[in-house]
Amino acid sequence: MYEPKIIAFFCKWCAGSAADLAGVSRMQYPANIIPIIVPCTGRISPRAIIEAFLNGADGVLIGGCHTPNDCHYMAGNFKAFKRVYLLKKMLKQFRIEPERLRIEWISATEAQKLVQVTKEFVSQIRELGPLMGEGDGKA
Amino acid sequence: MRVMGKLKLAIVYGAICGGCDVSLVNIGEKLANVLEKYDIVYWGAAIDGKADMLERLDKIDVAIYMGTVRTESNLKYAKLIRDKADLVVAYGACAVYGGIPGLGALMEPEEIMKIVSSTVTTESKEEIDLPEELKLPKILPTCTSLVEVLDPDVMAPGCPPGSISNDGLLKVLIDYAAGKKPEGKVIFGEEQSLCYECPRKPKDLNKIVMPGIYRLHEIRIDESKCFLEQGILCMGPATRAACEMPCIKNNMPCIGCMGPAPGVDDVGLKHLSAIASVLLVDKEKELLEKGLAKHLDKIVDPLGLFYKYTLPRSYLTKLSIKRKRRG
Repeated sequence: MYEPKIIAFFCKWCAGSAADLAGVSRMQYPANIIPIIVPCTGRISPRAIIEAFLNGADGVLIGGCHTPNDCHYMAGNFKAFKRVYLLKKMLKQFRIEPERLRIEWISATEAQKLVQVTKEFVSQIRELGPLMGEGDGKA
Repeated sequence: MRVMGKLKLAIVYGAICGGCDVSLVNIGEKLANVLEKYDIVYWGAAIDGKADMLERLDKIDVAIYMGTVRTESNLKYAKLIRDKADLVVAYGACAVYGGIPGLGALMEPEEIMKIVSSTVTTESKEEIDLPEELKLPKILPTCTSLVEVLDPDVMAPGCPPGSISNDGLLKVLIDYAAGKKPEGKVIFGEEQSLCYECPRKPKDLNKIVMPGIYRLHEIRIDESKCFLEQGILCMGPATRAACEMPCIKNNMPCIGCMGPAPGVDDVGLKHLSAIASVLLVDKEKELLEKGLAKHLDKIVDPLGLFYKYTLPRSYLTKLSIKRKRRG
């Protein structure tokens, strides 16, 4: 069966902590997700997202702090939101499904939400199929 | 035809609008210095000579290529000059980055031909039985910049290249005639982005706030203030400083024809990131996601805006084309 590869960029303070919490609470979430912890979602450049796709990811999930006031760096989550919003619009013009990119706000206590979002996203990507069709997946 | 002691210079076209030619001729009297040292063996627009002459030559010293690689014939001559010329110059945004014709990189050739032959202002295309030599060259599945096809030694960006590129080119040509071949790859322009040189640059480049997105006719533009601070989309932050800012000086924002600033490989993504970083930073917490999305929706065509001159060299284009081929 096809198993999608998903790169997840989690911010250290919120979604990253939620992933830790999910771990210590023994909540299970799909192993398709490869989490990368970054200091802030505002640090994720569009280039990093595209790099993930180029290296074989079928989807990219970004988890950050809730808006408006949770970001530890004042407004990094808004920067991430604006970039992702524009990038999704642009992906569509490049004939790549914008659904392959998703941004969610997950606080440090919301391990349950993290599990639910990852499960949902994995099944969505599974339905979309591999980004590069059949093959080694690498662009 | 052949003048002893002179070097051979060929100027070859790809898909071109003709602006590069005009820009080159605009150098004016200084061109005479080049002609003292060089013999122009081929230049479709200026001298009488057919392409087969170029094929018959064994060796060319310097070849200047203008335009995008769009047809089989473009590709053939691009490869030909790399084989025969010692020094290859990619002249203009099309040759270096893909340029405006490069915006067709994602379209199917059939799709393009259909548009070409079906608008009100164009001739409808009828299949006429022509002898082989009169047929138009086939268009390639996608279009690329010259840089992707071969490895030019000198790159002169710009649409069309301005005096910085032209002066640089003249210097390279004259030095080459004196026996000095440029070392490594040469790209004309400064090693920084346009914002650093802009006469309108604000006191602190790190504190630019874009108050929304407006089109040029929607507001009265202050001629001394940064475009981004007035809500006009300007591509200066990620564009190489290689022009004398004719647009900025004439109250028009930068559209990025000089290509990526040093250190940037995919310029569209950097433009996108730059705009997203400065847009409404002071009102984010009032507008929230919904309000910000509404403002961002004013960018109707992000691909056309951020990749106006560089689409064939974008990673996303390569991803998209490869994906299409795999089905």
